[in-house]
Amino acid sequence: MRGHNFTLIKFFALLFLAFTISGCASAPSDDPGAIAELRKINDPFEQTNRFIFKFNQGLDAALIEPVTGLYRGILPEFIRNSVHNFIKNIKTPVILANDMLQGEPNRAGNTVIRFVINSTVGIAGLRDQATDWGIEAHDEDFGQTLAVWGVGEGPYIMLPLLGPSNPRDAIGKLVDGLLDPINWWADNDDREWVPITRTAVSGIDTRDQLWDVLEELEKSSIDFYAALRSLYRQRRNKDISNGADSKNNKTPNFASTPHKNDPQSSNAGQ
Amino acid sequence: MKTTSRGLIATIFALALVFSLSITKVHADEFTDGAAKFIVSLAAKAETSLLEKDISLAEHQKRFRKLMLESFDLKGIGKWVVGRYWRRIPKSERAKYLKLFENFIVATYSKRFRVYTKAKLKINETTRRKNSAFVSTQIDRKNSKPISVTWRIKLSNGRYKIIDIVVEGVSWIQTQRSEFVSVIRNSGGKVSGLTNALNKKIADFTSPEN
Repeated sequence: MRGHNFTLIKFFALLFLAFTISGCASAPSDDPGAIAELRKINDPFEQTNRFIFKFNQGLDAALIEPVTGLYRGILPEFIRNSVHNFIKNIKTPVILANDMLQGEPNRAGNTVIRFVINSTVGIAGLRDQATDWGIEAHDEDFGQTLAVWGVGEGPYIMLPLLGPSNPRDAIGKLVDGLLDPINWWADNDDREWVPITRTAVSGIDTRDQLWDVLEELEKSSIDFYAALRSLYRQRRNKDISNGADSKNNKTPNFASTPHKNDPQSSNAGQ
Repeated sequence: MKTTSRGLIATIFALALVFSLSITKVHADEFTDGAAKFIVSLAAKAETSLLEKDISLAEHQKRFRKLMLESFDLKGIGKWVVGRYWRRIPKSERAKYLKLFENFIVATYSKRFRVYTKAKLKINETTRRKNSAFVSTQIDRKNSKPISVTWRIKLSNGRYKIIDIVVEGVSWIQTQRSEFVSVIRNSGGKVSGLTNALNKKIADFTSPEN
């Protein structure tokens, strides 16, 4: 596992290098509208990101999607749900740690209760009994914890294999790996297959969960990359605020009269 | 981007899949109250007109367009999603662009309503901020997690119009805007890049294989 993490660190270091070398996208002109737009898009490495996205899509078409398709074809839904529940249940320590780091004792308690119920009545986490009893699941990760602590997201980055991210969330992923006792355990006894198997299975599970969304989104979008970028940010904002109120985050400043209130478009035409 | 956003796009227009409705909590405000009722009646209308069996594809599209025009502020949305590039569209071309946007929406989303899914829409809460009413609903479908959908509604000339749909925290118009702006930027700031992309998408959707 130490070796595993070291590789991961090297991977991120290389990636960081790749992004810095690729440099910034075209500098903004002196048009304030253009500058505001660029700031909002916040994707200075767009060329590199799009390249990595293409690579990811290629990998998806060649490997991940067919494997996931097979997985969906062979296993009935209730088994796939069990896999999903199991993967989620063994993530508990990481979620719990982040609940606590964010100073959320109620959510931490919720996480513990869920773990106890699902690991026992839920048969080692294969069933999500807690949700059926009204104790709903929530997710936390160190990227969200950093956000709660006031760390900004930084520029958008597309990670090879892992997909949409940003420096804050990428570091978060790394820290989550270090926080996970399952990794410590596997590391101590040289059970390298454990994190590898887990990564593969959870990758397939994630792809399975996103199957319909990605298909629909790709079909309806005219710029899939940009759609995903927007989706990723909006979802992260919602997760960071724990879904407090979708109206309070930066969702549309399209106040009631879109034609008039939007400072970026004049009244013309309407 | 986890389970909760499953079927995201499909549910953006989930009103048409609606099977039964119930209001659990309505804000005591005439505007929000009316907005909630508007969503309820829209859902019922969608159910009777779009889920009717044995209507031709053309008839189905016609009904979908009519419903969209009645209940969405498509012009306002079409304008908002191009952001600052609206000013770059010559005045004489604006109506043409808005019509193209309308066609794009109809082509992209109408087909989803040919598929019948049993779903239940429940109104959880309605709130108000400035001139917008937010009708929060929960859509329950068989065998999947409930989805939260918030409808943002304004009142214009005495009629309720939807200006955004927020599905699990993801705003439809915001996502649309980032795409549209991105396409324009990548065609050197030319709006024609967008209109070409829209035309192509419409052609893709209306081709027989789809």
